[in-house]
Amino acid sequence: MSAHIGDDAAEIAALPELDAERLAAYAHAASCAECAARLAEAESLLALIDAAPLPAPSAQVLQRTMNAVLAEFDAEDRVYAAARSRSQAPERMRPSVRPGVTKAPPRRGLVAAAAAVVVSALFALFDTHAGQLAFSAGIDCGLKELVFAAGAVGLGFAVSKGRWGALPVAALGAWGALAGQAYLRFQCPASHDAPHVFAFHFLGVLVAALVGLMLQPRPSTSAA
Amino acid sequence: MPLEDPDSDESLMALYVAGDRRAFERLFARIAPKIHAFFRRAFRDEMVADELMQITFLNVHRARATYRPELPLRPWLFTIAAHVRRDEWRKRYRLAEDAGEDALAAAEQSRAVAAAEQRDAAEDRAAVVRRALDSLSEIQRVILQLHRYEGMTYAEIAQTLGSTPGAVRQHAFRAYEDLRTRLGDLLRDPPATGGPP
Repeated sequence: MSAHIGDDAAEIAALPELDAERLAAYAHAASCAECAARLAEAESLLALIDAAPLPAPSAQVLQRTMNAVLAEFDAEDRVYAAARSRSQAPERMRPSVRPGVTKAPPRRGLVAAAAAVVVSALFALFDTHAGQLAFSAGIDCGLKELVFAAGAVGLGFAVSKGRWGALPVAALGAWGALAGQAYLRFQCPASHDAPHVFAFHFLGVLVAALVGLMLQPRPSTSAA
Repeated sequence: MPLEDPDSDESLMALYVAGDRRAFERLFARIAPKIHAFFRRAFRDEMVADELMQITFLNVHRARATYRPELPLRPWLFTIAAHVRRDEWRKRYRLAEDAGEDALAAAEQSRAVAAAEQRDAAEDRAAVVRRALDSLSEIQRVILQLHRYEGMTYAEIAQTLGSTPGAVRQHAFRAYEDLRTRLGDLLRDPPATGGPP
């Protein structure tokens, strides 16, 4: 810095010690008495300012403010505690099944669905002989069985007056599909061809039972 | 790295954010007088400073989850304090929500309080300096408070106040120049024992 220090001496002196502008000013002042005097006066000014901090607030004011924040802490703790107890409440208080939904008899429903699958398999085993797969007709057969299954579930839903939770969906689906298989026994041109019956008629019943199982309403574990 | 020091402001703040009341109390003991001084410097009124300090700490508490521990704490804290200060000035002068530092400075300057001129003449040197500081504009007082007493850089002050480093430096320049003029007698007459009181 070659220029002389002007009215901004205090501002320069107030810069961080390693600031480039400050270092340059002090380097210049080392060989310039006038600027050195300005910087000395600036340092005196800063010393005066630094020695006149405001008095600290009273202990009562500090305590009052701290208490206000601690009260917020307490309020938050109460909210968290309430939320925690609410989140745990379902374990103790939540009804085992939603209101309006009664428990389905899962075991009997599963047994009924399995029985439908077994009957379907027996049909496929003993009412068929070697034959064709008849793929394009088979897709049609499979879809028809699923329509029968959906019809059976829909009928059950209507009979149970809309109480889905009471519905043995897997059993209804499987037996509905089995009814479809019986219908196909007389309508399907490949109803005695073992590959076709296994791949589409039996499989339709099995798929209906599995989809029904996935849709089966599950009561909470505490209800078991 | 501030967090490496378990006793740093930043480490205490991190514990406070995690729900440690003891850390809050320690941090509060360190910071509260500084926040109070900031408001007292700005408003020249102890009771106002008491109230605004409380508002600031409640705001800090509610915003504590937004603090990023990798950043220095004090600029973050003073930014919240600066918002409280600005809200207070807006309320007093009924300024628009988007009124910046210039509008605040103009409003405050137009109502410059003469109280600083009415003090007892027989004050000690520190009191004279405080009186000189009180005679500055509000923005100058605030900038000097943050610069001299909090050790914040012009860039940090600018960030805190929502201004630019250049504008902050300009205010600081005027403030120092004004103080040099007002405290000329003290500068020419240093204490005999050496060192300010």
